[in-house]
Amino acid sequence: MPAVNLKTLAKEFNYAMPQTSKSYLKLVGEKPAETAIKAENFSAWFGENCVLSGVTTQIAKGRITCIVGPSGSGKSTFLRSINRINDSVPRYKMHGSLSVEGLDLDKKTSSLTQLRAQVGMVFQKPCVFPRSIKENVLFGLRGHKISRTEKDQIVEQSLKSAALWNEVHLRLDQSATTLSLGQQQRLCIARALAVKPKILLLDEPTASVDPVSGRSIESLILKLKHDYTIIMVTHDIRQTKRIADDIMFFCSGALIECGTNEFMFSKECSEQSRLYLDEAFCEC
Amino acid sequence: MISRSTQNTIFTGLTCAAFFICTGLLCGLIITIIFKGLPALSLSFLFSPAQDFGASGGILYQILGTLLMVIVAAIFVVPIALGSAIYSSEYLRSHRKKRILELSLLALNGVPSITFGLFGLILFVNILGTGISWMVGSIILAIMMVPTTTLSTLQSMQSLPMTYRENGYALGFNRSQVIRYIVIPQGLQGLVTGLLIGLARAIGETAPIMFIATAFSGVTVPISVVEPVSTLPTHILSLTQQATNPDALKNAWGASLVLIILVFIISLSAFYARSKLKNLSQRV
Repeated sequence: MPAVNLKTLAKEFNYAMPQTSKSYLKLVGEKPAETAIKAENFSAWFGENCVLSGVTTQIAKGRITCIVGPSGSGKSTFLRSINRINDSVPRYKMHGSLSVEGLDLDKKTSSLTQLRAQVGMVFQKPCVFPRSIKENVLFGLRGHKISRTEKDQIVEQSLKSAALWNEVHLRLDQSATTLSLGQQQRLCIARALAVKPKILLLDEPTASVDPVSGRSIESLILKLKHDYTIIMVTHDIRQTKRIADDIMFFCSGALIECGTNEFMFSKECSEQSRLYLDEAFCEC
Repeated sequence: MISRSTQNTIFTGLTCAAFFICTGLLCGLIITIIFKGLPALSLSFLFSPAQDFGASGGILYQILGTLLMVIVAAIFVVPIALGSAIYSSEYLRSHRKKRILELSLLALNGVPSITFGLFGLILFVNILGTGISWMVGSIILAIMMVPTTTLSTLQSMQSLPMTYRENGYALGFNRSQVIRYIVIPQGLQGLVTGLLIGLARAIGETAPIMFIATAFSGVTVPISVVEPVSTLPTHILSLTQQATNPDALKNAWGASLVLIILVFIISLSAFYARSKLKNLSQRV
């Protein structure tokens, strides 16, 4: 895709631009070994409303990257752009470059199915299909020819990875709707893991559950980072401090700053990031 | 000024009156048909062919003709209604186009049934030269059933929260898989309910099939698609034209009772299917 001048494009289509983009890559401290996701001058629109503008960043493999920022700052849009879930939203457009595990999302030849097989996603509200626990775990594998033994193994592995096996192994054939919200969210994680993704996108996974369940999901995320690249949107700054390896701070559709946990919570980061991370106050 | 409790009493009284008028009329009608029709009802009435223009004999071929036409009509309706509902729910992005489709279906639902009969007469009998044929009758009944069935299916599909579809996409499904595994199971409940309601209406129709599909006497089981059949509604019409003959009138009441029983069975099936498919759709 040819390079696009955002301001010219916005003027041409009379799109609303957010505040001046201050997007820049500022990774400090330990250098990530490999890049899982690379965005260059990435922008997104819903109709005429520009929700992301000129995002340039890299997300490292095998780490937990938390995306923070006030509501409406474009965090979820960026997360949902990674596996192109937003494609199904009417009037959604994107420009710039975004590659996931080397797969360039701009190219129309890129297979969405191939991309989404590599990128699992768990949403804010647990959404279990009103089927049995076992069927829920295997839901993403429908259409695949898998033997019964393999299915049983996948169910066990996925539920163990999601720290749910001990709680449900005696009632796998019971409806998933009988589980508590926290258990349902872990079941959603197990379902996402069953398709063996490389990247796990989590959109405020603890927002709809009680603090105890939230903590158990947090410990689960920490365990999962050894096998998956995890990108998580969250509003909980304390949670971010507890579990994030890297932090991306978005505001008004722009990536203001990104860096390691230590850097972002130190005095070295920008005034804007510090204000938000320390006091949950934003003046962008 | 009327006190609140008086207002409440008046309102309760008015709603009660409306309810009793409605159910009273319906019960009165059913009780009359049962009392007048029961004397005619016997095994030989159900399983023997009509004689003397229906004044004697039974209604075997009328029952078979009615069932043949509505079953074939249902077979035509299912793919059309399901396809239209899927297209509108999953592929049409423009709300305006969706609204136009829904309004068109509602308008089609309101067209008087005799108009469908005239349309069939002009198109099939006059222009295409099919002659009087039960298949043409089935096609016309199917056209009449399409709006109810499509709207009911569409309503079920649209009630499925977007998050279920997004979860499907996030698991790597393409659009056709999301439709197959998530949307259609949800739409089945509406499809069957709408179909059975449409059938209950179609089974009692006389006007649209009178000129194009039925003969009043001398018909047996059709051996080709271009033969006429006799149906219960047209048979009742024929018998009431001989109202001076008490035997004919008795058989007319008997045939009416059988028709009511068929409609009742279809309506009960609709309730049963609705409750069964509710569980299935909750299984998504």
